[in-house]
Amino acid sequence: MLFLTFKTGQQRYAISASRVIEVLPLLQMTPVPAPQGTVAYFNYKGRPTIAVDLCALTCGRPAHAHLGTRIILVKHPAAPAPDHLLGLIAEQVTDVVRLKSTDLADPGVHLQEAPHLGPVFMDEEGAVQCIYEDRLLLGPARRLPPPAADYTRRPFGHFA
Amino acid sequence: MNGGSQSLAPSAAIERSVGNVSTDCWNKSGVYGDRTCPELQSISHCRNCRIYSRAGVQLLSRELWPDYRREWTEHFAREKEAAARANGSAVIFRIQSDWLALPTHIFQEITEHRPIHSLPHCGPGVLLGIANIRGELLICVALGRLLNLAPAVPAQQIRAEYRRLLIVNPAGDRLALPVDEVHGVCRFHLQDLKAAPATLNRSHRCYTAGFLSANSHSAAFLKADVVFSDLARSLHER
Repeated sequence: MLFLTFKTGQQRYAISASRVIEVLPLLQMTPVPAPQGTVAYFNYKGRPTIAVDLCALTCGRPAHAHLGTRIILVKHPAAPAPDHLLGLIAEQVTDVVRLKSTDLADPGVHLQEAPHLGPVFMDEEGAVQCIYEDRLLLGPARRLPPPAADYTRRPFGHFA
Repeated sequence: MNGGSQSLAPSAAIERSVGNVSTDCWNKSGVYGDRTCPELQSISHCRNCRIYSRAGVQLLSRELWPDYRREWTEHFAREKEAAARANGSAVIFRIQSDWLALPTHIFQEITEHRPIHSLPHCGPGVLLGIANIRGELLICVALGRLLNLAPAVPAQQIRAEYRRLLIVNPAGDRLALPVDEVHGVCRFHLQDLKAAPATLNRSHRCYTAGFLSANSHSAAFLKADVVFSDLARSLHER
């Protein structure tokens, strides 16, 4: 199993590479009036795509504007359409690791407010926690506005 | 020093790597220096060392330059150009000075050039002889003679190290075709094949389905069925 590793603050996380559609560099963002400036829109191939700053969400500060800070593009967990995407902004998105299922250990704690936290593996620098990106909306990102049912296809009557 | 613990230091190098890398040991004791680093015994090159890769990752902790976000935003804002999928694939090779192409699916193997043993009573036709391909004797045929390709360059000027044997299996019979150079596999659209020029001589034109451009050359994409049925006929006539 291949995992993409990243950091939010000092904490190291990993996401299964099979869930990742693309890793983008940090782009220009249009902020959305959301709690703590966690959410913004960016233009991905002509479509407005929502991005969640994982650092702002979990550390209370926006991600550093560094070269290693990137947007991990995944399928939107609450999306009705499969082409509905969500960007996760994280720091030091620089590495992939190959793991066996036996390398992953249950952390032994299951926090109700963090259902997105999955098993843990250890490397030379310490523990890395895998996250389930599809459960972010149940945990730290639960205050995010849910995606419109089909925002790309809605006729937008009063704008027409 | 960050995070280094002196009490447990089985390998000082690894301990140093826990914090930020402030050394350029690869230039001093590593492969770019005097190669005295003991770690080299097990990892053989600095690029396999965590200190080196960590120093590389540190380059990504730099601030973005002013235009970085704008440039990438412009790049990703563009709609993805959906290229039509290539529906043809050909191996491009050279005989004498002519670049030719045959469909990839008839190829089984491309090997280095081997000695070709001529057969008795084998004149200057398309049959060159037999070659030993990993224990199997295969008939070698000269595609250039079938296509009437003139030897434009004297044989000794052809760079021998580029010569290859193409093992093809067009219709159940494995054949070996010696060629002077192989460019590789090229994918293309069948409708992008350019028509053969009218000035091409007739024998050449009946073997050529069209021209495809690759490697700044124009390669003649041959009609495999016509080429190999004619090759088989000229072999049986003997």
